[in-house]
Amino acid sequence: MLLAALVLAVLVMATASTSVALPAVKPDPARPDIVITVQDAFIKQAIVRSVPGDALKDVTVKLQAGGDIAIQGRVEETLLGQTLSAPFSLAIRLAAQNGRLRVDVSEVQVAGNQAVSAALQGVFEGLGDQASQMINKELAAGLGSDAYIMNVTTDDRRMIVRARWTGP
Amino acid sequence: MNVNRWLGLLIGLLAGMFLCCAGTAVILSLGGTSSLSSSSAPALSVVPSNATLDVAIDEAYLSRTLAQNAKGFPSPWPVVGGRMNIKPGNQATFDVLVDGPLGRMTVAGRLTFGVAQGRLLVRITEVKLGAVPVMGLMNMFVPGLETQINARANQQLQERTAGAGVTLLGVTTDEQFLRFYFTGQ
Repeated sequence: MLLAALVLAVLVMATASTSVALPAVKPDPARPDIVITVQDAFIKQAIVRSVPGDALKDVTVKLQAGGDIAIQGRVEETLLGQTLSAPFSLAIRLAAQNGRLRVDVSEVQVAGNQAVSAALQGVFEGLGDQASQMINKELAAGLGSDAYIMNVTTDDRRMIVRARWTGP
Repeated sequence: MNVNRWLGLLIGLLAGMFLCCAGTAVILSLGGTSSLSSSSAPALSVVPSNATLDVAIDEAYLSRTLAQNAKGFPSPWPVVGGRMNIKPGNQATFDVLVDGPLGRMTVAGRLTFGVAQGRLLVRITEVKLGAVPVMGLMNMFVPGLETQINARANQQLQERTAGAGVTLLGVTTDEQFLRFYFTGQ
């Protein structure tokens, strides 16, 4: 009884003391809902993990302004029982296009003689399209189909992705 | 890229956590059967030096999420709106409007965030019904709500980050963003 009276008293006081209005927060298309900042060390780990078979060794990642990423290292592949290994370098550019992340591989270089180089180039074949598809598929799965990548920027240490949701 | 998937899931987790806190406060304020612990230890607000990934979520998005899901709260009275405010010092406040039998009223609360040993620590430090503090009233009921919220949040965090290979290092806030800091394992 006492508790009921107490709750009633609280309700009366609470109702009487409530004067707050909560205007709806409208989405702003120019403002990101989420900002993801990725350090170069994390990108290096992600790249090494993304290539199956532990094929990339001694990887270094150098971020540059404008969405460019230079990747160097050594690629190793076992073909017909033979382990082939050679230094490689990749130039990748990240960009946002129509709300999606696009990965362009602008340059692939694998050192060594022609046969070895040609064999190891296959590790990187179609990498840009595959990476774009994979990333966007995962973005849609994780952030929802209404996630919209606004832009991707880089400086010498970080990649920054800004995104928003286009839902209500 | 598993990281992207995980980030999205994290956002879902956060939104769910806020909704859980706000919804629970509504229920408790209206005579529910749970309660809050009143622990209010200060949360850390330091950027970890070894973080390699950080995720900043805008309070506007959290407010929109709260408002959009308000109608889904398991509240005895209709919830008609809500808002989140991220505050400096690892804090956030929430306001939820409900249509009670005596009229419209606000349920407001304050949360703090911290991280210890890779686990997110959420504390509910204040709950008011209108302008009336009701933490004391709530503490009369079943203890352990905060523990349940943290257990659920960390269980989901663990499940959803298991494939991404990241560890939560810290959390900070400013006037606009709630930031989570991670490192790759």
